[in-house]
Amino acid sequence: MKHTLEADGINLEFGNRKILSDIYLKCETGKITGLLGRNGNGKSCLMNIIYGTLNATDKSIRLDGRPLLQAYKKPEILLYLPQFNFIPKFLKLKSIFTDFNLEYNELESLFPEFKTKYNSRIKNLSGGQRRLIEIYIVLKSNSKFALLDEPFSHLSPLMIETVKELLLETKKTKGLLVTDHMFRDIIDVSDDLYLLTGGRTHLTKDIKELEFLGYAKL
Amino acid sequence: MNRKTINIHYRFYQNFALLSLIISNVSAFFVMMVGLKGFAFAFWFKAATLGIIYLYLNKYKKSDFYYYQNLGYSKKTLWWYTMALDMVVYLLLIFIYTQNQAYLRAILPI
Repeated sequence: MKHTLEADGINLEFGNRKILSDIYLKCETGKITGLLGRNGNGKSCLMNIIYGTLNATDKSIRLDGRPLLQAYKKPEILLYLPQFNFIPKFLKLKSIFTDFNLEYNELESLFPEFKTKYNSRIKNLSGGQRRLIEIYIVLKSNSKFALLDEPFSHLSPLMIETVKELLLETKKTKGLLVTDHMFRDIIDVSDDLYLLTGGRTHLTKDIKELEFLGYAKL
Repeated sequence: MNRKTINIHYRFYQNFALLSLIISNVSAFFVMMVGLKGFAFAFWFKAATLGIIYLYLNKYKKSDFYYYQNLGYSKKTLWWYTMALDMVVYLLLIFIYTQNQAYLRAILPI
């Protein structure tokens, strides 16, 4: 069954500064929705509003047309990968995989470098490995949607390619909303692409619009 | 409360369990030495230190909360259960210290 996650009529202001203005964004299961935008344009704020951890002046978040409130309390619906590391440093990989009910063997088969790390603490992994574990658990855990904020940061080019494959594999069962500054990678994997500029989202039909809207030189 | 819920709260409690246990022991020891008339001071000392721990973790470990939220446990739930457990442990320690006062005074160099 296909599910739809919509963020509609979102307005966000910090003091007199308007960050988001009447935003609309749609994400569907079976699709990767890319979100691009310059620094400080409110991409992370928008994700936090959808996740329910940031209050907006106005907002309507809907799942299949019904209001979705406090999504952060419903991991079976929505998971969130923030742009910074979020797994407590003292946890072992063993505990993390137990908490999320995931099979460690599957990780080992995808990434053989983790074969000797089952009992390692997350703080003893490299920055890239740590990020990879975070992306993996968000993508593999049971939920209808996942929000990924800068999943490609701290990853080597080879790791980025593997993560892109993982994203394409995961979209068969989930809806993904992904944002990153590595726009070529986002364009590669996205089915729908939004550009956030001037506080508004623009659904791009052609990637040349990114240049026209002043986001990137292609 | 199922096993998973207990595990998750235990993981969160690990952030401040050791420090809190030390504070609880110091506070309970104080009650033992001064008597129950010192309970109010000891209790507010314990409450204040818990408040400082709360503010510290909310400020400096705020990214960790996303881990627990992705598992379905809100910040409020985590704090509510772990603080309740911590206060139960604290009161239990006061009970143990005061009930075994004579023994503790004999074995401790005080």
